[in-house]
Amino acid sequence: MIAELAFAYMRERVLATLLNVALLALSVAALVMLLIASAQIGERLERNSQGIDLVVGAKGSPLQLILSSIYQMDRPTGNIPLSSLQSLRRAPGVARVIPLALGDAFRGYRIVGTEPGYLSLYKAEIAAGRMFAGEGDCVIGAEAARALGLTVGQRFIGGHGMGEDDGGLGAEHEANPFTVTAILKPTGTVADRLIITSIDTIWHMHGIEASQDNAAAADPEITALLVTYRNAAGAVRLPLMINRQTNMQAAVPAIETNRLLSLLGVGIDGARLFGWLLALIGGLSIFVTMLNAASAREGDLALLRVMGATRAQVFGTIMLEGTVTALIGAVTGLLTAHLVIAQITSGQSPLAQLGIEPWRWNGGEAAIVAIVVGIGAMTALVPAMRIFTANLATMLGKSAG
Amino acid sequence: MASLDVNGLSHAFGSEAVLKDITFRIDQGAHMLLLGPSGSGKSTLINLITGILPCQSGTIHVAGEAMSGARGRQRDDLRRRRIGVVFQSLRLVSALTVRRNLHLAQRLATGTSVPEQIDALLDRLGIRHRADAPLRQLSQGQLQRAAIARALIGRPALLVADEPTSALDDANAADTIDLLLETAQAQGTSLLVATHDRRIMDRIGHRLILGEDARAAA
Repeated sequence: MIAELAFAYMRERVLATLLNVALLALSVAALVMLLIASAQIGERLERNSQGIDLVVGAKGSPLQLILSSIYQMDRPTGNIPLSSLQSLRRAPGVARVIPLALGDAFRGYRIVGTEPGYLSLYKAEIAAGRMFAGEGDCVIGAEAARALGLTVGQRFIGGHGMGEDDGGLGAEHEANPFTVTAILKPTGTVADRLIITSIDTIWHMHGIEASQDNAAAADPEITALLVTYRNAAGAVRLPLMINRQTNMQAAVPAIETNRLLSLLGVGIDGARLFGWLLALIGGLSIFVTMLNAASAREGDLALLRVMGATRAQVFGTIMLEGTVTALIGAVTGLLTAHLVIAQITSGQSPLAQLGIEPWRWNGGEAAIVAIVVGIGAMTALVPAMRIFTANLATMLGKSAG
Repeated sequence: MASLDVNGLSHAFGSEAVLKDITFRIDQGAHMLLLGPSGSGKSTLINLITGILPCQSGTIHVAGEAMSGARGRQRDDLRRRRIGVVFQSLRLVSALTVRRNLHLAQRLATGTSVPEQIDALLDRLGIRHRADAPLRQLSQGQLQRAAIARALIGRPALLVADEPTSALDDANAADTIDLLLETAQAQGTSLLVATHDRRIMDRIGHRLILGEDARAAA
């Protein structure tokens, strides 16, 4: 009986109900999107930079160097000589140096020239095929393979460009097609979205072999070096040495990532406050609606009591209406948030490049839903109590006419 | 057994006495008019009989069960099981259709709902074709018929109608009182009609007149 009446009253005031649902859905959507973004961005940034203590590249913005070399999100700061690779490998305190050659893409997915050791950074395993070996060989990250529809043995032609705006649709390397030798298993890291090949292949595509006689080409260039320290001594000396004594820069991922997160954090905190304000407005709107409805329905509720409904049943009808309105708003907001993130991450946006998973549920979402439903229940409590404690004879006197 | 037995009933609001030593009874299936000018205590008497107000002095028995002396919940329970009430303007739960109102009323009164009984009653009152229409599409006369159906669907021992015809035109007023009498009689329900509507006064013989010179007559 309680449910039938609560839903009937919601239908009767469908516009007010929809307004309240929309307000709460908006607030929950904003809060859930922020929760997903803040939780997954930090986690993704950390996961993608694991095992990388230092990034060495051309001078410029250290954040740009980190974003382009680790997260594959920005343009590189420039190129550095290949000789720097051997120099760093000989440096004391250095355990591992992985070179990167960037600058090409295929339909928005970046092509990374590197060594097989790059895949071990992300514990990437081959799902099908074999590791790249000869020129033109490449392995494809799981998500890139799915999105591009590539399978082992297929050939494709890459192009100049980094993906964000030109999407690898610049001048194409028609003479040097790639052959897919393997598809990687999903790793939950940036490797899922990459096309990985050897540095020799990148050089060959750009005609560096063809100009071996050229003095400038005698020392081919690479884009960046990912460095892992052997011990703490490296962390103390190496960045200082590179930044002061060479034409390159050394950027520490942990520092730059923290800087990025603190910058993002200000915006996220502001948006979160806005989200809770929306929830409060939604709650107030339910409160006003329920209070007005309880007054307007005093006759109805009195009639229900005359018909034999108990005080608790009438009280429950009002409480259920407020709670269900809030619950519908909260669930709508929850689904909206995930749908919006799914839509955003289906393209080549920064969130997509970070690998945000739209349908991964966060425990905090249940807390947001519970709080918003609680707000709905609390706001229904005042009008419900007013009816619960009202004198039936007085209500009838006002309404029975 | 009497459907309603009122004995020595008095009631006061503060120091103002509204009812003094009222005694009357309505036998099963019998009808009675409750007459009196505004402020004569008609509504107070109805509220006492239906258990909406607690009884201060005297006794009230509905179908043999004591309304006087009962606590709030017991009075609510007795009203739910034994009494149907029709008001002048408070007719139906606004958010529900006529059918859903009857379904709810029957479930509250008896704990179950029987669609065939609802359809039969709506047929008898001539509004079955409007059973699923929104209430705003019903005329005043149809709404009052629906209210009678709502009050009778639980097969109460006593139907109390408070000014059931005041808001209706002559044709609808006559129709409504006829339907009240017929349907109550068909169900063996006793009827107490409070009114100051002269159009229906000659339709029910037994009268209880409240006022300065009130005398019980049954």
